[in-house]
Amino acid sequence: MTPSLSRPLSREEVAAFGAELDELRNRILAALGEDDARYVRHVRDAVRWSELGGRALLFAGILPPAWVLGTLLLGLSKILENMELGHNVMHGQYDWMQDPEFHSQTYDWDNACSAAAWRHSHNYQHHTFTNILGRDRDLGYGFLRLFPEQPWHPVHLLQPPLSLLLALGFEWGVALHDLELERGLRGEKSLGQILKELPPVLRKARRQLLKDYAIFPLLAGPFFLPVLGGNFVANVIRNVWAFAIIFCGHFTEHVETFPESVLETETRGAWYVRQLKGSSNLNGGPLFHVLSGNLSYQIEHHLFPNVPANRYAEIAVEVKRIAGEYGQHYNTGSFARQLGGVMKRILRYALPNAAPARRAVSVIAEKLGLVHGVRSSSLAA
Amino acid sequence: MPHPSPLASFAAPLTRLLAAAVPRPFLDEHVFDFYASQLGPQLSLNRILARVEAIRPEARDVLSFVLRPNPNWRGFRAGQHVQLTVEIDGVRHTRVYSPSNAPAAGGTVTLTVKRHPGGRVSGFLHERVAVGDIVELSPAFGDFVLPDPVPAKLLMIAGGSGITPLMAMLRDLLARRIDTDIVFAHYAHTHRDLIFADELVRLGERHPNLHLHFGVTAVSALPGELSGRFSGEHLDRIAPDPAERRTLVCGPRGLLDMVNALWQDRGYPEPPCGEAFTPAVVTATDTPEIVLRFARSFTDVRGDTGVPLLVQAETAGLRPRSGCRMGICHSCTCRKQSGAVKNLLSGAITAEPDEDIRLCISVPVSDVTLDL
Repeated sequence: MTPSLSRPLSREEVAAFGAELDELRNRILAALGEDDARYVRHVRDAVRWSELGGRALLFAGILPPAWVLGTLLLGLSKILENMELGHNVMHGQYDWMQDPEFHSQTYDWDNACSAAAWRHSHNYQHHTFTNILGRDRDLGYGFLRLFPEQPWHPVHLLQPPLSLLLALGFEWGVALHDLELERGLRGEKSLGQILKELPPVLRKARRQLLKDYAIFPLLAGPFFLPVLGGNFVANVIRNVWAFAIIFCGHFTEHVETFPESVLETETRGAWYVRQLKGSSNLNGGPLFHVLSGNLSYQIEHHLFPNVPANRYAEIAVEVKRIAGEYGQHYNTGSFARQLGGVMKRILRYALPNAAPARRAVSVIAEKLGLVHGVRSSSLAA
Repeated sequence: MPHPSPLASFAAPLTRLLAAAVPRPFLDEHVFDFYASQLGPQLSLNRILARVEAIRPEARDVLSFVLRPNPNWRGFRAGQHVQLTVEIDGVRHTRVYSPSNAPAAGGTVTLTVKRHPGGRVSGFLHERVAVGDIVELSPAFGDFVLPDPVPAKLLMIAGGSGITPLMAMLRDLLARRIDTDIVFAHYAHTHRDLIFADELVRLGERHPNLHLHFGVTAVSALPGELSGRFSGEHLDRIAPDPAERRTLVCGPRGLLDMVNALWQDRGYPEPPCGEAFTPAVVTATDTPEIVLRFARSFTDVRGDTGVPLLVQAETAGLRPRSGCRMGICHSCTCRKQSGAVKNLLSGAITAEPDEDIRLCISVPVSDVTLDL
């Protein structure tokens, strides 16, 4: 296990820690009102105008400056929409407004992943079982090995290039995530079940593909190709950005994982402690926070996933103070440093834990069935 | 009369055309509405957005709001209600009102609203809504309407702000020049609370088929008026032939109960048609005896004030969507149609009608109706 930078807490301390956070959440929720509603509408406005501007510029995309600007603007719009509007609205952060435009049950985002699948795999599974090995399927997305506690398999040798692919097509990875294909491969989920869950995934995929790669290009008439290309690049820009921000949320250097057994006795306070230890923040200016969907405040988001994201900055001050008082590590750093930590994990845990290269090679050889007789316990070294 | 801006009147058919041109799966209503609203504040694909055209006082603490809805409005029948939605401090609130105008009156909808002490929406409407503001309406609904064909003799009994649907019917009848004999009794606490009193008097002078009676319950009546709450004695005085009349009642629950009991006692053949018009004041009950109503499943069960609604729904054999069971994932979000619930995380009690709640962290504190 990764050594913890947080001191162990007694049962009473865990309860008190939880009570302080509950109190903080209730204080913020009670204060929600017109300013928060105005904020989310401003974000909506920015999304709509940037999308209109981006698409309009791409229609003139035969001119290189218009193409570049249009592509960037559309990419920015998709980032804002996915991260600061869609993700947060679908969490129910603005359900209290009782406005169907900003309601978790009715919102659908500009992303290949359907809202319903996202709400299940992300809001429920990931946010409830955060960083629990075997329960939080976001921990490596079913095919990446990012922690020494995860068992190694030779396929992990491929994870550096696979991660790059995932970054480029992140929305498609997310779209397939809820189908749990890796469980299908392991025989834990039947093909029939997967096929049963497939139609809504395909429906959303078709909608997204038709929109960006048929309808808008066709509307542009002779400028079909520049529009199609611009849409493609804009989607990739959003994918890479979302990948980077999201991986920095749980796979940075000092993030901890948990065995499934914690669930047996976990109290509300302990759930908070797990969220704190399992998440990491990014430092940056206001614009950076907005573009990250305030997932730069990943800790606050995981403590209070349904508190409006525009409140995370003020909440963070208090969370940091409370964490300090209880001797808990508050994992934050620059984007560069945290992303570096993520990359290190992707590279490091592509290889088995055992440090000496020769031993690694022999483990690989055994796993690949090239040699026999290497004791599997050496993996745990 | 103010007209919509030329841009809006040009843009309305244009947006309609656009909406028809975009294939349905690619038409996101909210995206469409955002761009449409830039052309005119009332332009919307489906929503009924109405502009406040006039506000006028009708009685003490009673204002009428004349609303002009956009073309998504499909009209109403006199006596029906609409949901009015306004946003107060970032939160949308919905209340049900009956239009008080005749449906034919130039496409407008007049909502007559009495201000209730502590009433969030009625207070907002009275204090903060101005001419030119935009509010949202639902399509009209409800079965409390004039019988068709209109009977030869009618008796209408209105209590307080319950007059609004009956006023719509009365105006409708008179506007359509239907020669029905109408006995119209209108009760309020005091003379200052008699909504539409002046207009009723004017109508009574103009239409010999309208026989008007005012009643006051909290002050002494003037000569010719009815004194105190509705009673058999009142009925004998205003309508000696009640068995021959179709009776329509709207007012507080007590008025309806009184009328029903009287009709039963006297064995009149036709039961009165009535609607209780009681302001939605739901508060936590002390009694553990509460009823949970799952509207979509047509299931009523005895409720428990100590157990989350999710568990109680599951115990009742329902399978609502659920997830974390700790209030974070919003999977079990469900529309509460009425009743008061307590949020287990914050301890807050909310009694708003038509409000979304998370079943896993909500316990009922009164009778509750859920859209499940």
